[in-house]
Amino acid sequence: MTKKTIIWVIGILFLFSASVVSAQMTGRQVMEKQKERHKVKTEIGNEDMMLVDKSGSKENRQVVRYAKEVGKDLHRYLVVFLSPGDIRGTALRTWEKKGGDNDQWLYLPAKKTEQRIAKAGKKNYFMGTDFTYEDMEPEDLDNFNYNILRSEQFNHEGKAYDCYVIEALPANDKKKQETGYAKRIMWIEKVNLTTLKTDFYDRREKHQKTQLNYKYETVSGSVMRPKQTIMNNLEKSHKTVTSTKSRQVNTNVSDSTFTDTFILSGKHLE
Amino acid sequence: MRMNPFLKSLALLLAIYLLCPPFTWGQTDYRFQEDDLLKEMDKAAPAPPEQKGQEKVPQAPAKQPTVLSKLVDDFHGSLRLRGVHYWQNPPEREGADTRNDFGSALFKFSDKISYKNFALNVGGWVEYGNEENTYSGTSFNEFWQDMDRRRRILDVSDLYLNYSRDSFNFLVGKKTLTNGMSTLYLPSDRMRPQDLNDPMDVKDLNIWQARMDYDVAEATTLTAAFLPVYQPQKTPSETSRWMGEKKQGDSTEFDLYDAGNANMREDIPQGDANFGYFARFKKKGFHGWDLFASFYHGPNPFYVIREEQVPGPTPGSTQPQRIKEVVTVDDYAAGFSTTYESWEFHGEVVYNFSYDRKDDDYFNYVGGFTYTFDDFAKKLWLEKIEFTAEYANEIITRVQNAANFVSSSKKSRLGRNDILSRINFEYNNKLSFQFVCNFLVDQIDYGRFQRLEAKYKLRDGLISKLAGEFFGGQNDSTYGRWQKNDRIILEFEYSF
Repeated sequence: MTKKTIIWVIGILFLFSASVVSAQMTGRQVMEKQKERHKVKTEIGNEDMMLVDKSGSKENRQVVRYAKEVGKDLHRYLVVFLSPGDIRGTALRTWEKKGGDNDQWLYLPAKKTEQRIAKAGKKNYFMGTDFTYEDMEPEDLDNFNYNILRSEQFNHEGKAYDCYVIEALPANDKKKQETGYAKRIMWIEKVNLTTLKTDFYDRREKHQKTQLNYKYETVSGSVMRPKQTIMNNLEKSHKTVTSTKSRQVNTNVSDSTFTDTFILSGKHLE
Repeated sequence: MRMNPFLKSLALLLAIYLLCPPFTWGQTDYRFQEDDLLKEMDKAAPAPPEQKGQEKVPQAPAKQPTVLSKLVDDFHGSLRLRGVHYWQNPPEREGADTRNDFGSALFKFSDKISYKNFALNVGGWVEYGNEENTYSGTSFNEFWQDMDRRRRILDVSDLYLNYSRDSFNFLVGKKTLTNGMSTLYLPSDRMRPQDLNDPMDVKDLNIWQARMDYDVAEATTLTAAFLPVYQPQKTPSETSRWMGEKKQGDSTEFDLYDAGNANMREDIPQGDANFGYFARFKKKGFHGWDLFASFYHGPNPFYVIREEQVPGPTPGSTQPQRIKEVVTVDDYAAGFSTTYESWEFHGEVVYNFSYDRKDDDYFNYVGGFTYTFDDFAKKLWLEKIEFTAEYANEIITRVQNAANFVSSSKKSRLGRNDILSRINFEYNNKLSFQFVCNFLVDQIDYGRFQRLEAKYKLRDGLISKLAGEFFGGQNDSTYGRWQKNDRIILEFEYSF
């Protein structure tokens, strides 16, 4: 092979590889597409929740979750516990804010008033679950850098899914300070862009917990949601299992659902 | 010999620590297979009725709930069994109840029935125990205004009709009316009469009201309420150990727990003087701040003393008669809550203006914070540590000065140079500890209170609590009066 031919081959290979790279999405683009594809204006979900500790004892709960987009990528959330009796009526309100810290309030029925929650408290587990207050906040894509680590086949629910494996790292010093996680690694299925698995690593980069999502179903158009999830806390040998009993999306949910008047008047339990 | 309260706290903590491992750490590690858990969740109960005001997702027609089935579904409550042991005999007092062991059973209930935008709510309690001169009667006596000092055995404390739309909520009936944004001490929370028969285990008596909460803008709520019936606080009986020491011939100053001299009668307002009016502006999430301002006009929750000369035992003679009087006041209040990093800051101030100078005019304020430890807590194998501290004080701008009024409400008022603190240690969702420590730092009234509590969740809805309470200070201070009331409390409460 002449020297000229070798240069041509190398040149063609270089151009080909460059075109392949440009056709691939970046981690950020995958996350944006996922958010766009699965976003809804409003959502209400009735869930059963089970907490399982390392001794095997189980606690069953009923939860209602409300969500509403009130501006572009700006959401409000409300989580209400309906049972068991000792936590019935407990509610967590979250207001997403762009360019600032989200507002969060916790209502405990025994106190009959709502309490604003400090940001650092968001690393703490919410009401004994394996979800932290941070996990229950919406994901602001600007706060993280998303890197595609690899593509791989992921075996889940008896099937092999072609997945992006994406690493999410805090994007700025502020987020690094306030988050409870050094990184998260997500397995996002390529066809429907659904997250099948997420590994959470604590601030010392130790694998802390894994969330697995099961039985994805279409709830509206291209929007899919898992029917069941398991958050397996390896650090505490504790699990939180959720199962959605009913879900409504894009229905009429009033803005007043996300106010303290809604909770203090007892409407959150109706 | 009296053991130092701090040593008692440590001893109690050690006892709890030794008691808890069998529940928390000593059990075998059983790892559930995820498939098993998912199958178990699949077997869970069918979905509940759809939420009101939402579109229905097409599904199999459900059986229409009847009024009775709705009442059954919405019936909730709790049963609490409580035992108390005091280490010391009660203070010397005429007719004092000298026992040291007490028990009570409390059943709380609530129910509601809804139709369209209306909801009728009812709630209350049934309670009985072996405390003397404490329990009597039901809500059916003195239905509108409970004048009995004793706690009702059966009380319907909540009875109200709600009419709600997206932008407002109208309520008429009997319910709690809370105010303020502070955490431990809320100076502006004055429309909240309580049963203080056990001052460390209070119950809200709730008040009759017609109230409108109107959302004028996003997270901005205006509240207006008419409170037609003044409900006095309930205090412990004269023979209760909560009344402190009183030897024959003692002359004590009047306060919430002590009538001072004998020959006292109460003058509870009648007619228009009963009426209270409340208005509030509240804004939440305003650039990271929660704010409120409120106004109240009506009967003062704290008594003052008026003295009259009444005919004496012999013809032509007179003797002084003291009257506990409820006077009319205006309360102007404002407060905030905000967060920064791991801190939550809050503060409140209320200005009390008394008509005709029958009571003091004063500012009562509180400022404080809650700090949440997270990384540090993890190092101690705890899930969360939360520390709250507050300082409260008052500034009297004009002292009581009206003919025949001899004592203001000063000694009954809380938050006069007080430090309040609370620290919560959460080990997991089942086991937590709490330590409360309050000091009245005023040199004259110096008093202190400490409470150490361990809470353990035995099963779904069943909570056990073990607590120790310790009091100290001068005899006529709020906490010093109870210095012989150091006690241990064991509670089991099942909620459904």
